[in-house]
Amino acid sequence: MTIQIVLSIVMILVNIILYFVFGSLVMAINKEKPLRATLSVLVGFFVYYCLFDIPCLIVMLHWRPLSVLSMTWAVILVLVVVISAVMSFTRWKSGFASLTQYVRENMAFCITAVAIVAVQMILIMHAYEFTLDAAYYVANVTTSLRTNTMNIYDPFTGDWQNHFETRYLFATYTMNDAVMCQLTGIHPLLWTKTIMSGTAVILTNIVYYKIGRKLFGNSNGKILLMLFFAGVLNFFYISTFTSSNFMTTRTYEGKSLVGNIVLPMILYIFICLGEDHKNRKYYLMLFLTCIGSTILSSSSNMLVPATVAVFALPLAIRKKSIGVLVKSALCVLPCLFMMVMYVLYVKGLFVFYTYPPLFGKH
Amino acid sequence: MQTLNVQESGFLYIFKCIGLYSGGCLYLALYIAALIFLFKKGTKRDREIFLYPSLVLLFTVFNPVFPVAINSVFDINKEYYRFIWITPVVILLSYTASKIVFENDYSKGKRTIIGAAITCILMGLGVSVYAKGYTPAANIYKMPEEVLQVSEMIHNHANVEYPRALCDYNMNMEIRQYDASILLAADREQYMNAVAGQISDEMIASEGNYPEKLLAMLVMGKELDFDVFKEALDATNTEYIVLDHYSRMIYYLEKAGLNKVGETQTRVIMHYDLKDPKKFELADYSEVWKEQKF
Repeated sequence: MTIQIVLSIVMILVNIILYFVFGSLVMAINKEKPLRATLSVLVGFFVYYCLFDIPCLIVMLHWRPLSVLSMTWAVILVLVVVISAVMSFTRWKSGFASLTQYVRENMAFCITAVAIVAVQMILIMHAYEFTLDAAYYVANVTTSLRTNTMNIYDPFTGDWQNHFETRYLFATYTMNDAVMCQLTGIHPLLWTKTIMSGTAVILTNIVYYKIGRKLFGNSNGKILLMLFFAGVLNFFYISTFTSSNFMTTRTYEGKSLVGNIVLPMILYIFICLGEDHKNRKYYLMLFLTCIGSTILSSSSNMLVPATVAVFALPLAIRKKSIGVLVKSALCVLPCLFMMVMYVLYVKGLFVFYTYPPLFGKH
Repeated sequence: MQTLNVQESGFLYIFKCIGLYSGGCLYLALYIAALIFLFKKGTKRDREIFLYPSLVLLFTVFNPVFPVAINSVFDINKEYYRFIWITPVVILLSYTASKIVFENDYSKGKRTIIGAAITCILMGLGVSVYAKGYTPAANIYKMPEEVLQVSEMIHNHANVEYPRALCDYNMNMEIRQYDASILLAADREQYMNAVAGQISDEMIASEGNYPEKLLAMLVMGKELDFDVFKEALDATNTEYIVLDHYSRMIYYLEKAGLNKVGETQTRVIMHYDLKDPKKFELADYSEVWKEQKF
């Protein structure tokens, strides 16, 4: 039990470090000079899943085993870490030095912020919750791992399916869970319900922190209090349907990540755009968030474009800029594309079989 | 929102949706109060960030015409509530609360009192996720111990790698999360239909519908003709039935010829000798891979 707890904490840190490395690479490519650790983690989270989607879809649509994807992804992870380290090592070094200095100078702030997040993590990670959707999402990871396949067997019953369920096909977030379980040997329940839950709580609070920093500037006390109130609200804004309920009980689900990380992230990006609506890097961030969200959950296909529209419209009017609308629309194209794909699938215009037609299993 | 329908509710849908969405929480009302506060006392930037997008939300997501219009293109009955997620309730309320505490040059003591008061108000106007109690996880899998025990008992008894079972509701939803080598006779939709009492006598009387027949027995307590019941077990290759200790169907199962092969604190595992057991095997894709260049 103790080993598993330690393993969970280590893997949460590994996740955050991986996101940081991925984000750091994008920042380096984008020639961002100072290291922005928390922003790198957030951007990296979306880049990580965007990049994962490519080999995942290729391997899955060729009916290859999960282990092929696991090996491919392990190689890609190593490559990204190496390339990112080469491109950002000096930035990491100076960034780490300034981060250490910041922590030393703001010890009380850092300890309190960590404590606020840690309390939420402990409560969520230690609680038993019965949710119906886990019968699909978690069982899908367990089934993929057990059969060494991807999305081919029905998670509810274990039976072979003759076609991929398109609603979940492109949202490959759960397949990443399966890959990580295969690479680490961790049971899917421990991975999803503890490790990914903990990771999601940290990411959610990082977005709150970034928004707080934008709204309150350097007033650490105000930011801390905002983090505290946000924590309280998330544990008390509960009905079957609220995003806070998803965060506290179904933390590891793609939908929960959309409601609690993606949507606040879009708000954060539009706060940034409010300061400089012509800055290309914010649109890049928005694009990565939008495309990344389609991989987390198909729920984002309609929700994310709607959210972007809600924030882009007032900004465009305020700035008297049609460019804001055009660029925002371009950013949500991946979501709209996925939505159209799903509609076409529902209308029976295409299907991805789990076996090639020539083998006559349909 | 399974219970709400745009076609039936029409323009009232959004109000019913908000009601169900909020449950016992008054945070959407607090959200409006916070917007008014920012409108009066906030900065221009506060209004730009929160007020104007909220107005767009008012004219779109919260507009009674909007769900009706969207529903004519997409079926959004079940998922419209997710549009309410766009409203940044948690962020706006936490920001405003923090702003109020630091609003004037209060002393530390006063700030603490105001902060505590706001916390109490937020807690009072909401519903705690642990309102019905906090249930700590029983093990690292965050599964009831019985799920692990049932899985182990079935595997110890079974002669095959992938035995098939039909379980009571909770067990059926949880066991494959822990152990995907146990196959289930009914999927979630079939199970939910049974729980909702939507398995009719006609369905039971007609050919096929084997999972429904098994569920009619287990969930709805229907004592089917033994031959019909056994035919359903054979057709679905179901060897094990897991049910509550106190279920009155245990007696029926025993009369049908099933044997008790395991028992946990609250559950009984019954076994049926299949007439013609079919071994479940994973699909072989090796021929497909040979044909592929990749």
